[in-house]
Amino acid sequence: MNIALIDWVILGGLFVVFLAMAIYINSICKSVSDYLVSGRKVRMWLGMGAGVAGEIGLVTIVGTCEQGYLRGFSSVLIITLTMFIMAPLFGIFGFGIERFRATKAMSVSQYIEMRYSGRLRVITGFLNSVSGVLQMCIFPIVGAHFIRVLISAPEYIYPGSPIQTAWIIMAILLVAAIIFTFLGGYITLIVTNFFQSIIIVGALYWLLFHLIGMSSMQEIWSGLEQSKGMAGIYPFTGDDGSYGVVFWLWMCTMSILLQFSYGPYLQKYASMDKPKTVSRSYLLGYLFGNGRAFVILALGVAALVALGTSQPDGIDVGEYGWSAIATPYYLSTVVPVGMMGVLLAGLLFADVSTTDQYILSWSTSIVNDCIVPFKKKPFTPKQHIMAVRITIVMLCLLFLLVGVTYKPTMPLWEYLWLCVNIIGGTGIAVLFGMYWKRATTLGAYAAVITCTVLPLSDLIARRVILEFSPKTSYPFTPQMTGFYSYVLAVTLLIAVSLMSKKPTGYWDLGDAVREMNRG
Amino acid sequence: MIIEFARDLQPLSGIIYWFVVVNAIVCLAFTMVVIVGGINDLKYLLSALQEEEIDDSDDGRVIKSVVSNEPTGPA
Repeated sequence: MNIALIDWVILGGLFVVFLAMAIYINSICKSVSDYLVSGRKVRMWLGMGAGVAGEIGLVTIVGTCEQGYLRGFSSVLIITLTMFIMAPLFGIFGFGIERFRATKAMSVSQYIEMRYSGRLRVITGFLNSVSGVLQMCIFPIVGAHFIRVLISAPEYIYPGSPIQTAWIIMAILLVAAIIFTFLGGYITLIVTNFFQSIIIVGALYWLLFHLIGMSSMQEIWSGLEQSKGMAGIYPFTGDDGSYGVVFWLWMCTMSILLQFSYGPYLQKYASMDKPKTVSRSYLLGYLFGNGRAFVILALGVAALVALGTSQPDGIDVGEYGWSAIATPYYLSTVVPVGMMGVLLAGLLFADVSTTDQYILSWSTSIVNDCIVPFKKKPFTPKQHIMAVRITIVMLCLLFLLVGVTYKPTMPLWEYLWLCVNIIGGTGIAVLFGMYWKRATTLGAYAAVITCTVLPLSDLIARRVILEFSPKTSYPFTPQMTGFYSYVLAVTLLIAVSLMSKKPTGYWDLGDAVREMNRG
Repeated sequence: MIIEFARDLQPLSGIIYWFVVVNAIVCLAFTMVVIVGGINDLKYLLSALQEEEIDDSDDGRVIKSVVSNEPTGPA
């Protein structure tokens, strides 16, 4: 292993500091709303800082490095074009996200019950949790493989033993996540994520400067130009493996819908002090946050330039396995002692902050949307928090089990995107619910079912084809499935709503937004 | 930071390069601003949480309003 004593000291020291911080904050967590949405008192800068750590998870770093290694900087144009739509829509006009905050709901499904029906709340809560958990299942194991390769740890604890080192690292990551989520819930996450974001960003920039210092900007950029040509900077070349226009359209649609349906995002919005804070932090975070994604992409590009596109001899991890570990494999050869400790701390906290935020969000959804509605007598606050904590532990055990059996069959991002497609139906129901008086419960059911059945059929068909006819190429990309599902779901919601005229619980959220912003 | 680009990939290669570099620098500077602002907000959050009144009904349930038929979240 290329990790020295000083690296362990740095890693352990920072962990103890954050643990002490979490224990202190736990002492001021008094109610369910404190535990789940920080008492709705988070202001703009703190929310933005904590959001950085929540967004840069270890799995995000792995996936973005993989994209940099596979496609160079071609996603820069995709990210920028998307920004021209997203920043004004949500950051300036606060489209939907300000209205969601004005509902005072803790989760998207709570709003679904307010607007449509309790049954639909249970269904969307269940579907969103399943989709989120399916997506999250691979976070710990993917992160663990990345770290194992980075520190050059052996694949198995002892030669010939059945226990992989990555499983042990995965267990450590999950235990760390449980500790921080147990202690104080969302308040702890907001505070620790804020400070962890400083470490993560610091470690990533330091690493990039180190790589540039080792070679040069010229060498890295020219290497990219020679290796990938136009495909390394332009996403619409039409070559096999380039992103393409359908991908961009789907990404825009999905990014818009996720703002109204993705649990972790909405829990963040629900925790902010007023609707205007939600849109302002979105705008500033979006405009000035792209640089971080570019820095992570650059690490993948540096690996591409140094290693080339083919696997080195002696490594046999399959096509998709290699692209995910190419960057840590390269970094393991260039990161010096001392910096490794800071980098590991950055990666550990990147994992903890994101896993915490996501796991708390899905556990909240499971308890609030799938358990509480069936209880005749409501939980006491202590029981409620305990139910969320028990769910967190159960989910971590599930992640551990999935991690032990996980074998990658597609690039990481594609799997994550495919899972997210399922949530799109809820986003469509929420969006129309907030802005269209005539949206009915039946119409919302149609959208939710469409976005569940099509992506799940796609996921199953992929597995079947892979199992029984591995040489047959699958005709749809995840983005095609997602985009066409969304289009069909919107069409059905409108058509069914116009046909069914049963009144629903629509109320004008525009007034609520103005009132809360004034107060 | 000033580098040369492949002729056949110009001007896009230059544009993307400078866009990446400028964004990375701006993001780093902005992170400093977020840290300073975040520490102030953190002080506010900790004091506000210690002074707040606890509302046990604010737990994610939907309660039908007595005054109107409008469904309400927490108060």
